[in-house]
Amino acid sequence: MTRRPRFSAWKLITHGLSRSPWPKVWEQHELASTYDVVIVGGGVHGLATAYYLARNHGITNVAVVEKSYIGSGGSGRNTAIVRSNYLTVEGSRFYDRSVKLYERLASDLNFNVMFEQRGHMTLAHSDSSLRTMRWRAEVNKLQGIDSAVISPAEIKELAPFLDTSDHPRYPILGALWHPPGGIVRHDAVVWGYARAAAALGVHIHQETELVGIDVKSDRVVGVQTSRGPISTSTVINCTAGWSSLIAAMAGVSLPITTRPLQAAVTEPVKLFLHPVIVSGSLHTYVSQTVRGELVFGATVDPFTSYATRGTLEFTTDLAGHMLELMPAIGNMRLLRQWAGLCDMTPDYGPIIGPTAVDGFYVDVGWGTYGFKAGPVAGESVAAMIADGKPGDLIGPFGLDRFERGTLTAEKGAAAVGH
Amino acid sequence: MATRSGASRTRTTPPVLLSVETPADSRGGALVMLVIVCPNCGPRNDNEFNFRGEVIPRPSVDTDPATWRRYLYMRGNTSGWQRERWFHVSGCRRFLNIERNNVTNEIRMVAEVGGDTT
Repeated sequence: MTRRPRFSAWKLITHGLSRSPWPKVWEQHELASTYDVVIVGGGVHGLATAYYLARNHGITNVAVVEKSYIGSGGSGRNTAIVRSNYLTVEGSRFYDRSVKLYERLASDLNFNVMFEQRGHMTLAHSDSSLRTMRWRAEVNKLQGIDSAVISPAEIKELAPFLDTSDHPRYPILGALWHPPGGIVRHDAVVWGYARAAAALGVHIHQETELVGIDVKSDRVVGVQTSRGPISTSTVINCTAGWSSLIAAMAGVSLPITTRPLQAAVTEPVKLFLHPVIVSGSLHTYVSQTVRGELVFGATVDPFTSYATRGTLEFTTDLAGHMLELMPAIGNMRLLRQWAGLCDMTPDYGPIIGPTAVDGFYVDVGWGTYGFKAGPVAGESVAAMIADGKPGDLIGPFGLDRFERGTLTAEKGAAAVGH
Repeated sequence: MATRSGASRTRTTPPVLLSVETPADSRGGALVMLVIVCPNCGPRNDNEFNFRGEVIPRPSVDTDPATWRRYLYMRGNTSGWQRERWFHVSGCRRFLNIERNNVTNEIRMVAEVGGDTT
């Protein structure tokens, strides 16, 4: 195990003054022939799982295989919003744990992840969505989560640039206000987990694509990668976008369809928008980064696709909806747009747990809300691998729920809400 | 093309090959807008249509619950050419079978359901 160099204010000053080079954040390794656990996908889920396996359970003979560079998929494409005001008890309990982990992640990983709990505001434009928000607020309060319905006057106070008058086509009638929600720097979360996991002995193999999973009499015995074979008894599928294709390598089928979700960012301006604003009815959400850019996101595209290019329809719809919410930003220009792949499940809940193939686990189907669940998913999956069975927090999200018909019904709070 | 007689409903529509307007780029990107050549209405933008998912054979109604739930939820979700069903909701309101490459968004076949083999 290599000693990890600590980051601190003192180090920043001494390195700044002496201009001495910073030590390498993690080491590259040759591909070993055997690992106890092979994690597929070097995003926040895969790296968090590797970190918690090593830190909480002492399982360090772990490889993370990533076909591109770490954080190149959904972890680097999401809009970096964290919240826990879900509709179901299972959902809010699960994401609340994630918010708690995010709150102390920077000190855990000794890496500044820039988590800012600015508050998360979901706007209601109709009586029915106001009703759902009251329901959500009550479910959240019972779980001890700070969540309440607020009036247009209170909204105006928190976000003065929002048009709370009755002029828009869909006037703002109220909002669900969730103070612990906020934004985090998603790249930093990926790098922090990678650095901390590597320091504990985890091997991170970038540009190493999984090409096959060897299964003998319903047991995983190894994997084939673009850099050679690995023999292992445990494989965890932590991919997004390609999770069906990885599972198919082990002969497991998933109830997942892959859809792109598009996002866009404006030029940076002086900070004026403090909370995260979400409008389910207008299919959009916006937050302002510390650099001053407005980050916009939307709902998933109307048809399945593995393509990650933006469309003109998205841009025009987005601009129209944003101007309805904040007419004052009419002169701002979009810098760029992109898309990330989202694995949608029939009930908008993730799929975590064992499969029919012994030793093949999934942590997939994260739809449009995978990033905010990264820490808790990593912690829970690591515990599942160590204990041999899923814990209480992830029990309701097993793959077998689709055969038993016990779906989780999270659509009301997860379809667009971010 | 605009009017559709009763006979055309069951007619076998010859496969329509859509020539793509913008070539798919080297990153495997999609077209900026998907154009579907409806056998009844001609070329239309994708937002006139409802996507109904990949075509999966439907089991008989008296099958066991496990088979039925597999039909309801499990998906191949392949990357590449996929046979899928669309509904021309703002046009002829007919169900269509379409073969689309979901990486490049090219379309190589559009046919009315019942008009081709399925």
